[in-house]
Parts: sequence; C-alpha cells; structure tokens
Amino acid sequence: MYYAGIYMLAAHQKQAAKKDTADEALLVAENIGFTIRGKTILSDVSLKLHAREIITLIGPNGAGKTSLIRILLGLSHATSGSVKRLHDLRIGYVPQKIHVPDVMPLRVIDFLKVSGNCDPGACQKMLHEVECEYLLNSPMQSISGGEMQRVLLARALLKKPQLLVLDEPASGMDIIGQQSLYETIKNIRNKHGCGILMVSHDLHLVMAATDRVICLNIHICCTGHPDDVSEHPEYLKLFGDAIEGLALYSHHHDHEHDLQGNIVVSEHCNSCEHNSR
Amino acid sequence: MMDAFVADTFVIYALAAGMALALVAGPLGSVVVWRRMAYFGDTLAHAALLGVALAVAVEQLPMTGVVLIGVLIAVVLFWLEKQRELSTDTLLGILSHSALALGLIVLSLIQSQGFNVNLMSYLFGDLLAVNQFDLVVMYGTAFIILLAFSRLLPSLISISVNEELARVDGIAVEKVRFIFMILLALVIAVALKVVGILLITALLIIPAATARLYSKSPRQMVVLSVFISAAAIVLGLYSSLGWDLPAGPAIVVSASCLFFVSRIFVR
Repeated sequence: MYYAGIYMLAAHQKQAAKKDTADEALLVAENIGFTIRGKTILSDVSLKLHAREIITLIGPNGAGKTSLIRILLGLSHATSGSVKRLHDLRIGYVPQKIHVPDVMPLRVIDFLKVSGNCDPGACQKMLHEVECEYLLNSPMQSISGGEMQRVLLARALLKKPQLLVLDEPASGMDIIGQQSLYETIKNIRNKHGCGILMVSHDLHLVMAATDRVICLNIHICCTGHPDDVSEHPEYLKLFGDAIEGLALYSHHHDHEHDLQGNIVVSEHCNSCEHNSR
Repeated sequence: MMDAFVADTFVIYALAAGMALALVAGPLGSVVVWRRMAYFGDTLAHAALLGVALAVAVEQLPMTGVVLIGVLIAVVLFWLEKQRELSTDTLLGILSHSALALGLIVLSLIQSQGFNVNLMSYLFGDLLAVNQFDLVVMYGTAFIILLAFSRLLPSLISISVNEELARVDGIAVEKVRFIFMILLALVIAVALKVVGILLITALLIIPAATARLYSKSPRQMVVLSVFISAAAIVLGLYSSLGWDLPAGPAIVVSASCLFFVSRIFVR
C-alpha cells in the first residue's frame, strides 16, 4: 500500500497533462509482473478499464487469468508493476464458485443481506432481476451451480458496483444457460452502467457481449475489438485448432427452459435464428 | 430439595455467573463453529492455565493473566500463520501443548515457593465459590464482549461465508479475525470460574452445535445458542446441587444431553 502513495504522486503529475482520460478509467494496471516460487505467471501486463466498458479476458489454462483478476481486485499483490483503482471504487466480484460450509445456516436472503447491508426488499428485487426470486428462502447449500452464479451476481449488484468482475461466470453451465447468462450480463451494463471485466472460456458466446477482448497467455498476446481479435494470428495460434475442431451445432428451439427446468415458450425463439455467434 | 437451596445466595450467585457465561459463550461459540475454530478455543483454554499461574505468581487476578496470555497466543498464531509452510491445526498443536506444559511448570514453581493454588478449581471450575466481586467482573467483561460482538457480527458472518468476497467488499479480514480472537480470550476468562479450563471449549461448541439444528439463519443460531447455553447451565447446576455432582462437568453433560436429544428428534 505504500507504493500506492508514491505512485499517486507520480500519477498526479501525469494527470495534469492528460486529465480527461485518467478521470474516466476505473482501473489502470501498468506492467504487471507476477512470479510464484520463480515461476512467471504474468509478465508485463498493462490494461485500462473504462466506465461502462465490457472487457473479456480469454486465454488457455494456466495463462494467468485468475491471477490477473486477483491482482486487479487487490486479493494478491503483483511482484512488479502497479494497479491504480479509482478512489473508493465499488467493486462487485463474482467468483467462479463459493462453498458455503454446511455448518452455517444461511439462506439466500441472509447471504444477500449480510454482504450488501441491504433491506430485504432490495434483495428480493435484485433476485428478481437475475431471475432467481424463487430462491429467496432456500439454503445456500441447496442451490445448483447455475443458480449460485446468479445469486452471486445479485449479491455483487446490490453493492451498486462501478466495476463488476466475473471469473468464468458460465463455467459448468449448458449452452442455453450460458447464452441466457451472457444476455443478463449485457443487460446489466445497460441498466446499471458499470464497467465489466470477465474471464471466460466460452469464446463465441462472449464475443458478442464484449467491447474489447484481451487474449492472455502470461503476457497479452493480442487485444482489441472481438472481430479483430478473432482474426488475429496470435489468437488463432492459441485457439485456432480448437475453433476448427468445434463444429457448432446451430439449431432452432421452439421452447426454452427456465432455471428450474420448466418449459417456457418464448417469443424470442419464434422470431430469430439461434446462431451461436 | 428445591426449598433447601433456592434461597441461598451462593446458588443465586452461581446461577448469575452461569447466565453471564451463557450470554457470551453461545454467540461466540456460533462463530467458532462456523469458522472451525474449535481447536483454537482449546488452545486458548490450555494457555489459560499458564495465564492463571503467572497471575497468581505476581498476585494479580487470574482473569487478567488469562486475557493477556490469550492475546499473546493470538499474536503468535498470526505471526506463525504468515509463514505458510505449516497448517493452522499443526501450529495450534504446537502452541496449545507448549502453553500447557509451560503452565504446569510455572504452577509447580510457584507451589514450591509456597503459593497455595487449587489446581482442580481452575481445571474444572468452582461455580459455587463465585462471589459478588466475581460477578461484577464477569458481567462487565460480558458487556464489553457483547458490545464488540454485535458490531462485529456482520463482518464475522461475511468472512465465515467466504473470506475473499469479504475482502473485496472492503472488510479488513485480518483485523476482524484478530479482534474475534481477543474476544474469545475474554470469554475464556469469564468461563474460568464456571466450567474451568478443561471444559470451556465444550460450552462454546455444544450449545452452538445444538442451535444449528434448529436454525435457518446465522442470527437465529446466535440467539438460540444463548438460550440453549442458559438451559444447559440451569440443568447442570440443578443436578449438581441435587445429586452433589461437580458443577462444571454437570453443566457440560447437560449441554451434551440437549445436543443428543435434539439430534435424535430434529428432522
């Protein structure tokens, strides 16, 4: 934390020069390096996240995605480089999954209340927004993986975050669940106006809901608009084989399932093609 | 049988002391159960003997010694946990037994110096010897514990659910954990006269575990555990007086009975 102070002095002078750009960045990371026991996890990673921007971090296993996220969140400290967050930045964090010990009696409503210091009405409304209102009084230990993701999302949103950080939000979901989750995430930006940083493996699904993709493999391989990145040689080198080998099954559904598995007929499905974008 | 002892002040004092302990042991015990800190409670309790021995040696209140040694244990544990090579239960094993052994050594030293220490009363409590001064100290301590605990509870629940989420939320996890350890040391000091060093952890764990069976939310568990501890203490004291049993162990056995009866009949 001392570095922050020193850094801010330096940053102050820089800011005088280009104040406008510094003002709107929620988070600036510069030349992040991270080594554990001599092994390089991250090297020279710089990124800047602006308000209302959706950035997706992709990369193979072991690329350092989770380490980078943890450093940006302040959960671990970079070996070198600096992270600068907007003063009093409100961050909503959605981890991959959490395990609530069985020994803790904890309903979804308690979980939401305790983390947000919110009244039950606000919690209920937020659960409604992530389409999980029926979970209000369920014990946290009894909900499914997909439901957990949405509850964690609701919890993060209750803090009225300026920045939402999601670590593989759709891991372990089927393709329909993933699509609907990314749809929810896209709506969140529009509705809550927060910047979003997410880690994802679901290349195609994510691409459509993203402003900027960062392709990470220890260092940043390439970055840019999804369409550009998907044709970038570095990206193809990392994922090319996987993409070719992945024959996408695009097809129509005449109904959808809600989270409880009930069939719902949706107008969306009647009117448009279900291409996996 | 009732009439014979109900009016006696020592019974009323004993009951009052028990209630002071119930007020704090239940709530803090709930957090101990959530955070799997039973072994830490045991360590504090073992170290309490060293605290008592040292306090007697310098002619201070045993409670003061217990609290100070508890703080010391918390500080050393924090420092050791930073090294990461060894897990917490191993570290606690080292601390617990070192403190106990040291306590026994100091105790034998001061006994050879001519100090009269009734070891049994510290090991198993001496509820029926509680006096007015003890009560004032116990309720004063209990009040401080409850005040701090009620302010700390949301953070404690938060870090018990998930420490990383709590950290991102801006909760100073280390600070909360440390304050909680200090509060536990204070509870042990309150419990010293009631159930004694060897059985203190039981009163933290058993009523909270029983309350878990009936609770749907964390706060419910905290509140229920107070009533269950109180019931165990009343039952224990009653059977102790009725059948001439040692009070501390009788209280713990009552708590266990409540637990097993609940376990069999709930769900």
